[in-house]
Amino acid sequence: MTVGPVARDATTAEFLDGTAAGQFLLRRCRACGTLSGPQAAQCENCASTALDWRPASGDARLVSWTVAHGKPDASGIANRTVLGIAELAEGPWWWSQIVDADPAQLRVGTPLRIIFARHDAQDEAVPVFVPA
Amino acid sequence: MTIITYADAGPRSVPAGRRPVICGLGMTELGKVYGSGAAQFAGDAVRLAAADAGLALGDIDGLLVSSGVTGGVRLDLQLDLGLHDLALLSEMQAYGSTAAAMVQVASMAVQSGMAATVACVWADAPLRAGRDSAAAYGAAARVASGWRGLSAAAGITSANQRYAMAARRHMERYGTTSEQLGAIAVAQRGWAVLNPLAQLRTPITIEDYLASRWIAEPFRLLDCCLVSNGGIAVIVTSAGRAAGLRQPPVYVRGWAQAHPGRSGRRFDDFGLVSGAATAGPAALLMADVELGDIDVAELYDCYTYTVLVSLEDYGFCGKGEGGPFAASGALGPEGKLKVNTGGGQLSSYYMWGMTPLSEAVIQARGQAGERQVPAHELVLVSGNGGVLDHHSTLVLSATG
Repeated sequence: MTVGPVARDATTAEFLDGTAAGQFLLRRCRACGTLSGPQAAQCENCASTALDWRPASGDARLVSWTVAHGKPDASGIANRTVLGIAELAEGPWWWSQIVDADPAQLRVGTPLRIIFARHDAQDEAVPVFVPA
Repeated sequence: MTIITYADAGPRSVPAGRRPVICGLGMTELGKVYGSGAAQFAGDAVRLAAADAGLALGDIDGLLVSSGVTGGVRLDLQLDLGLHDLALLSEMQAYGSTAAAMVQVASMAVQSGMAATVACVWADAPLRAGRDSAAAYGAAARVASGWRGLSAAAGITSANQRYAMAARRHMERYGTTSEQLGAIAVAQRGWAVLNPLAQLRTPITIEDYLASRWIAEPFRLLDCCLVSNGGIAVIVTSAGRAAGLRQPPVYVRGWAQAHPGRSGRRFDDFGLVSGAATAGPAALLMADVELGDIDVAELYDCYTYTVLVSLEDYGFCGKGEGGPFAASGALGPEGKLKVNTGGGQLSSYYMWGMTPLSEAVIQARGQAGERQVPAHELVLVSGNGGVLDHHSTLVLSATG
């Protein structure tokens, strides 16, 4: 699998603390309990800004996908990456790479799991999907 | 979304002389044109549009500017053009929906008397000699931090990939096929063959389409728009002022926008429906015409798929039937529906929303030469920006 490096900033710091610990954190609304995506600044249901962090189950289902074809590497090896949109069991969507997947086997609804990958050992952990 | 457009409050509600019209069109050389930045292209486009209209630059009292990925067209274009005492000046940005949106703002300004003659310009210069078009857009997309940076780290770096996932969802839901997407590419190339402004004028077949290399499945190279340098401007004024000018006026008869604001969670209709589904009916209502009255449709076509979903959402065919409709031979110069008559962004030139708008003006004036559609009274213009996030529609007419 290949993920790139990413620098944390004020909006992603807590989420990346979660990924470093092997967790995909969602925002849980203190007012209505709705689980919003990690990037939400307010509850996706009731607009409350009183949000806690809550780990997702890590279960997801495929919404759509693409096989991205990059330039072949120096030795001529094809550079293909499977990317997808997955609906987390809790409702929010997440866009990322799907690793260890045969694109021909992917369907809408294919069960996926969130795992984490690093560009280099010292880099941030990036959530990616793997067929469940 | 509820349509709140008032059928009796559009241009039809004001005296005929105050109704907004497009009186000038300026297009620089487009495509692999090097040596100018976006601001220079923008200035050239406005000067060309004024000359086309038969106006002096000093007649312009409103200026709306916008640019593509490289930016660079800013408010100081006013100074580059030596425009003094403007009554309206702003930079606008809603991506591919901007061009039509600028015409909407200009039309409202003219109709209300806020400004008399408004130039709307868009320009970009992402191409550099010796560097391919993927590099031109890839460089702009590189992000190292934040939520976008997290997507990029995971490999999601381009609009090609995001739209490919929209198209894949449509295919999975409705059974849309590669051959059906290809029919759109082939049909539009058929129009481009007839267009001296087009960058790609060699006819293609469905076999050529299927043999073109993968970019991001289901998109092949021939599903994707060109990348072009250049600038295009239009000038909006009132029908009264346009009466003595050089070109036949093109009436701006109805308009609307739609910005869905996707939830990005369960039940999001991403890939299945675009803003055209609401902007289209609203613009037609303001124009007081029916979809069946439209003679020519110029639809934003960053990808073949964007045309397909727009055809469905405007109602030229049923939801989910865009594929069979395209494959039926309905599009192209011999087709029953005249769509993207210049070849569009797939085959002619990629000037974001200015591509459909410029071809619409040329067709409505009856100046399209070999590709002129005989019936060109009503022309629909569709803009689309972001990844199906921003939508704008214009209904133009050749007579008031």
